Parts: sequence; C-alpha cells; structure tokens
Amino acid sequence: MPFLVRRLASTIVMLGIVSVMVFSLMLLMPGDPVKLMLGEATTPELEAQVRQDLGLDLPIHVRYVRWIRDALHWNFGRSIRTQEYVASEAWLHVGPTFEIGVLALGMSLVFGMTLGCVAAYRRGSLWDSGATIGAVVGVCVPHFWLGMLLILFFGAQLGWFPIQGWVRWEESPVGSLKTAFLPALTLAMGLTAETARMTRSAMVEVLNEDYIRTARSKGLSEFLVVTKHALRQALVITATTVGLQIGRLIGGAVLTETIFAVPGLGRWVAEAVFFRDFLVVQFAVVMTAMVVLAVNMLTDLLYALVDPRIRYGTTS
Amino acid sequence: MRRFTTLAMLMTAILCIPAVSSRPAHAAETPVYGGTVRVVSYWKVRSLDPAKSTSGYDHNYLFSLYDTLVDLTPDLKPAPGLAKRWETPDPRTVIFHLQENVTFQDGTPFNADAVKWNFERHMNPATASVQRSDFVNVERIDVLDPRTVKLVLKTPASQLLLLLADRGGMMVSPAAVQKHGKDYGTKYAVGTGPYRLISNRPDEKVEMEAYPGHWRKKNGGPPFLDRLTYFIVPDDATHVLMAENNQADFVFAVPAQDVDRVKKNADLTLLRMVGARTRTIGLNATREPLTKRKVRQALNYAVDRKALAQVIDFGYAVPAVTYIPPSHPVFNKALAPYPYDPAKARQLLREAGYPDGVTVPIALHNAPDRLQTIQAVEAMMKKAGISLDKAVIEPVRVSQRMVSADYTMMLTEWAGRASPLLTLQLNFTPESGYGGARNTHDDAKDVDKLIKAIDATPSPREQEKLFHEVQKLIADRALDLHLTHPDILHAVRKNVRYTMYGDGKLRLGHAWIAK
Repeated sequence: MPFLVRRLASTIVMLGIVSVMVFSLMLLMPGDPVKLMLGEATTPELEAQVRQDLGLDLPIHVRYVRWIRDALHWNFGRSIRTQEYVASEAWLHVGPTFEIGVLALGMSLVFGMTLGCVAAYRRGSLWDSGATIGAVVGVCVPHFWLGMLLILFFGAQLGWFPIQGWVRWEESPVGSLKTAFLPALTLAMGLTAETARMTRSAMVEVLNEDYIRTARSKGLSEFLVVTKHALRQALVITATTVGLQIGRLIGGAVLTETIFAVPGLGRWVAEAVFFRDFLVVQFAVVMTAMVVLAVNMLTDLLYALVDPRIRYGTTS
Repeated sequence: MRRFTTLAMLMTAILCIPAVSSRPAHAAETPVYGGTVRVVSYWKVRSLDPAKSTSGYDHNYLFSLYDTLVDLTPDLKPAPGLAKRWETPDPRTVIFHLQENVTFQDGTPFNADAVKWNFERHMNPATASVQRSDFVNVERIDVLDPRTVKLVLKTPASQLLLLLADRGGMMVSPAAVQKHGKDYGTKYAVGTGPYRLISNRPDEKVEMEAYPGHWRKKNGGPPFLDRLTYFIVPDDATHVLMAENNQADFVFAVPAQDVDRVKKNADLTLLRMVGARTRTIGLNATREPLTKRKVRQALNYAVDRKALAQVIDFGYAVPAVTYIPPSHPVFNKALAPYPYDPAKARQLLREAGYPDGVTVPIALHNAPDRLQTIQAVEAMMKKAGISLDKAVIEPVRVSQRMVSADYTMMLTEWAGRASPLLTLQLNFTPESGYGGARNTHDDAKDVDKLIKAIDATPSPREQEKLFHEVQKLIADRALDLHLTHPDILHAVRKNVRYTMYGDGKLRLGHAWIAK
C-alpha cells in the first residue's frame, strides 16, 4: 500500500512539472495564434478583440492558474482552430489512435516474441542472423516509405484494404479494422524489431539458467520448457519494453496517421503545433504524460506481482 | 521543312486546346439527377462560417453550402445570384432585387431583412468577422420591401459586386447563428445553397446532401447530385491512387507528376485551366540592395520562367507578368513576362553599382515544391552574378513575416482574390494589412495612386484602362519577382460533369453525373 501511495504522489508531481514545462514552451515558441487565425484580414482592433475573447491578454501566471483550475473540472478550453472543446475533440481522435495502437502492439508482440524466441533458441544459426537482420531492417526503414509501399501493394494492386480514410468502430467494426490494418502493420514493423531483440537477449540469458536444465532433465517437452518456463521470465523484460513503446506509439502515430489519413491524436496534435493552438498541445502533452506514467506504474506493479523479491523488498 | 513547320504549328494548336477550353466537349448534354461525388483534397476546413473563414480554400466547401448575393460566370464576371438584378441610381447607391421564394436550409425565409442582418453581422465589431474590411465603405443599409435592399456607400466602390460574389456576399441563416452560437461554423452551417451539411469531421471528411428546397431546383435546375463527400487526405501522392481505385471521384489538385497517369487512365478525365495562383518572390524595396530599381529588374531578367514551369510543374504552368493571370478579363495583353537574359541582368547590376554581383537574403518554407523552386532559381541567378542567402523557415513564420514586411526576398505563393483590385490593394498599398510597410518607397507611390483611382472609378471601361496601366507599371518597376501561374488541374471520373471556374474554386452546385 505505501508503495502505491508513493508512486501516486510522485506521478502527480511529475504531471505538475510537465504541465508547467509545456505551458512555458508554447509561449516561448515564436508565432502568434491570433495572427495565424486571422491571416491577412487582421486589423489591430480585430486582433485585440480576439485576444481578449480567448483570454490571451492576461498575464502568464494567471492564465496557468486558470487553466489548472478549469482542468480539474475537466474543462481544457476551446481549440483556437476549431472552437470545439478540447476535451471533447480529443475524444473524437482517441479512438483511431487507440485502435491502431492496440493492433500494432498485438502484431508486434506476436511477431516480435516469436522471432526473439526462435533467435535465442537457435542462437548462432541462420535463424538468429536472419532475425537480427530483420530487426535492423525493421528499425531503419522509414515509416512513410513503408506506408506508401503497403498502400501501393495491398491497397492498389491487391485491393484488399482501402487506400485512405478511416471507418469508425461504431459505424462498422470490420470496416474499421480494415482501415486500421495497414497503419498498424507499418507501426508494428518498427516495434517488432525492438521486441524481438529484447526477447532474444532475455531468452538467451534465461535458457542458460540451471532450472531450465532441470526442467529438460525432468523430461518435459522442449515446447513446454521454452514457453512455460523460459518465456515467463523473459516476459518481465518484454513488459518493460512494451511500457516504453506505448509512449512512442502515441507520438510515432503522427507520420503514419498523415500517410493513411487517419484522424487520430498524432495528426491532431501536429496540426495544433503548426497553428500554435496551444490549449490542444497542452492537453495532449499532459494526457500523454499521464498515460505513460500510468503505464509505467502498472509495469512496476506487474513486476511486484511476478517477482516476489521486489514485493518483499529483498534482493538475492 | 515547310511541312514540318505546318505540322509543328498544328500540333501546338491542338495542344493548346485543353488549356483554352475548360468545358468538356459534352457541354450540350442535359443534366440528370442522382449520384454521389467524392472529392479528395488536402485542404482542411478552417470554418464553415463565412465570417470566420480565413482560408482561401474554404470556398470549396462554402460554395456548396451557401449562395452569394451576386454570382460569377466561369470567366469571373458578375451574374445574378440571390439578387436577380440590381441598379445603381447613383455611384454611391446600389439597389438589389432579390429572388422570390427562397428559403434557408432550416426552413426560415430568405428576404431583405436576412440580407441586412448578414451585412450588419460582418460590420459588427463583436462578431470579429474576417470579411469586415469588405464593408468599411458601407454607410447605410435600407430594407425597402421584403424583396429589395438598398446599400448606400461612403465612396463609390467599383469592386463591390465581386466582393458580394465571395464570402462577404454569402447569406447565412440568422436563426441558425442565433441558435447554435459558438458551434456555428464547425458543427452547423445553414445557408440557402444547393447542399446542406450532414456532418463535419474536422480533418477527416465533410458530408453534404442535396437541399431539395433549393430555389433553382424548383425550375428543374441544380442541385443534381444526391450526396457530396469531401475527404481530407494530407498526402497528395495518394489522391490520384484513390481515384484510380474508385475510392474518390474528384481529385481537386492533381500533382503535376501524376498528370500523365490521369491522361492514360480511361476512367478519368483531366480538367485543366490557366490558374489564378501565382508563384512569386516578394521583393521588399525598402531594404538594400532592392531599393534600386535596376537591381530588382536584374533579378527579374535573371530567371528563366519557361524552364521553371517545366521543372516545377512539368509544363503545367504559364510564365507570369504580375499577379493577374492571362486568363483574367482585365489582363493587359500587351505585356509579356520578363525574358531570360542573364547578360542584361549583369549589365543592370553594373549600372546600379554592383559590378561584382550581389548577395540577397531570401526566406521560404520547406514545402517540396518551394525547395525545388529555390534550387532552380538559385542556379539561374548565379549566372547573372546574384547569390542567394537562403533561410528555410516554418510556414507560420512565412505568413507572419509577410504581414509585418520583415523580409528582403520571400518565395511564396499568391492564391488570388475574388477581385483583382483586392489583389493589388493587398500587395501594393501602404495601408494593406499584408505587409503594407514595404510599399512606402518611391517606386510604389504611383502604383498606389493608380490603385486608388481604380477603386474610385465607376465606369468599367475606365477601370480596364487603369488596370492595364497599373500592371505595366508594376512590371516595369519590378516591384515583385513574379514567376509562374500553375495550371488548375482536376482529375474527375469520366461520367462526372463539372464546369471549371477561372479562380480555381470548386463550385459543385452545377455538377452532375452522366449515366
């Protein structure tokens, strides 16, 4: 229990720091959202009026305090660009990013862990080198190029998937998965590589342990040895990797979402940065920080559950 | 030899036909009702409220939702719109007679009171309307009867009709604005136009359906389509791919490198027209070394515009004289673009006191076509002894620096305006909100005078003479470095019938699908 309380407290402090940082960063960036909004039609009176409407003429600390106060009531203000409430607009964009993220993570876990296991099991063989090369290629290939290739091949040539656009889950789950498949595959390529490498190193270490030799000498099938005994230990490392990847999935989504015209969070935030729509950027950064911190906390809890040494605070 | 020349001339003539005619050969067919058109472009909606719309590409959506008081013909001349006729008893007064039996898409009636309400909404400082400057000249609006509106201006305004064919003249339902408040323009948009809004998913798609109560439809007219879907897809490399795979029917802007694919595709038609956009390098003559006219002229001689059109737009562009394209009614046909003459450029530089050439800073943003353009221009200018000191900046910064005239040279693009006078006013008068501070130098003073004269002249013939004069002055004095006008290139499914307009904006009200 005190573990949980300590983690929660530090999470809140981190969130506070993140919010201050993001607030000041947006203000330090050159570019005035009001001038951007109005374009060449701008006149001094119009500008002053819009500034007042948006509350941009107040001093910074007042604006920050107001923002925190409103945020606690789940009011993150209105987007300068669309005039929609930031929180409700975010809700529209979370769906696609979440769907693609979950699909990408799932794919990468399946492929990555399989590849990693095979590479570790057949260490030093062609399988191993093949998996390593595959991993390097997966990390180095640029997302947008890969995305275009997938669109051309699976979308245009084979016609299996739509070339662009997004079907919402509420409209049609199957249609939604079809539009999510190629973007998820693109993202998964990069993630698979990492997961494969991590799984491989973890497995190599574990497979050398004494208890594996014991399990083998007990007469257990190889399959059981690898999956039930070895993999379970390696899962801890994989869980850490996944925790780190989730943060990247939200950000790395920007390029993929642009190529595949997916109306997700990544694209939304990128647009907001270009338009100095700082309320949107603040919200997005704070929310992302919250998600990453929450995931990390969960990972720690998972550790504690899986490894009794952590739970009881002893070291062997 | 002679046969070859004749053949060459014949081929050139044949090749010119698509550029000259924008109407497909089947213009004599009778429109039929029904069908859906899916449009794809990368233009996001800034606002579906004409008072808040700052982007020149919102028109593609707005012209479907709203009718304007004054309409335009495809070659940009005023025609009856919601106002079926108008008269000017004196240069400062215009009386509009409105069409009968027009209703807004929410059922409320369209009448003179609605017109007055719309104008006053733009004029009211509390609205913060972007089109407010269109109405600063309005002294009074009188409702003479439900079908007649009288507009009294402070000074004669020659371009008023053209402005009322644009966002300032779009009629919005007063009831809808009052009902939806801040949500108007994003979730809701109600006009008298041929299509009404079903949904607007920002950055994703906009869906519209035919408005069956449209005043033109009652006489067997448009809207002909049942439904209109606009996809917003940021990566234009996939737009033509979507059309090829029957996932879109109308590609708004075909990238120049994909034109051949469209031409070879039996299922798609290429619509092409001389564009109203201008690729241009803005010159700030209040900064050295551009204060000397000869230096600016040298810059103009140092660029091969034909080669640029070939390299950047694959030949789908015409060299520019000024911002006014050759297809526009007021274009001065006696003018030609600066020829490519690096020797002359060197000579002018010598005469201006720069025998060893000159280095000039230039700013631009990192769009692929701009980067390509600057590379080509830089190479050309080197031959004339001109070096460019490039600064690549964010798009946001480009527009800000243009507005505050904080640049020496800026590679940018001018999208065009409803009225050519507005283009001239925005670019060449000192009071302009678009970098007017650069227009305070001597060479700009006569241009400013001419522009003000055009504004004050009611007679179209007089206006045309003045337009011709001001274009010549701008070109001779090299106030800017105009490069090319890229063509408007649409790719449509071969059964889609659409008439192109000279300003390159989508007016899908009259579009239909042949069976």
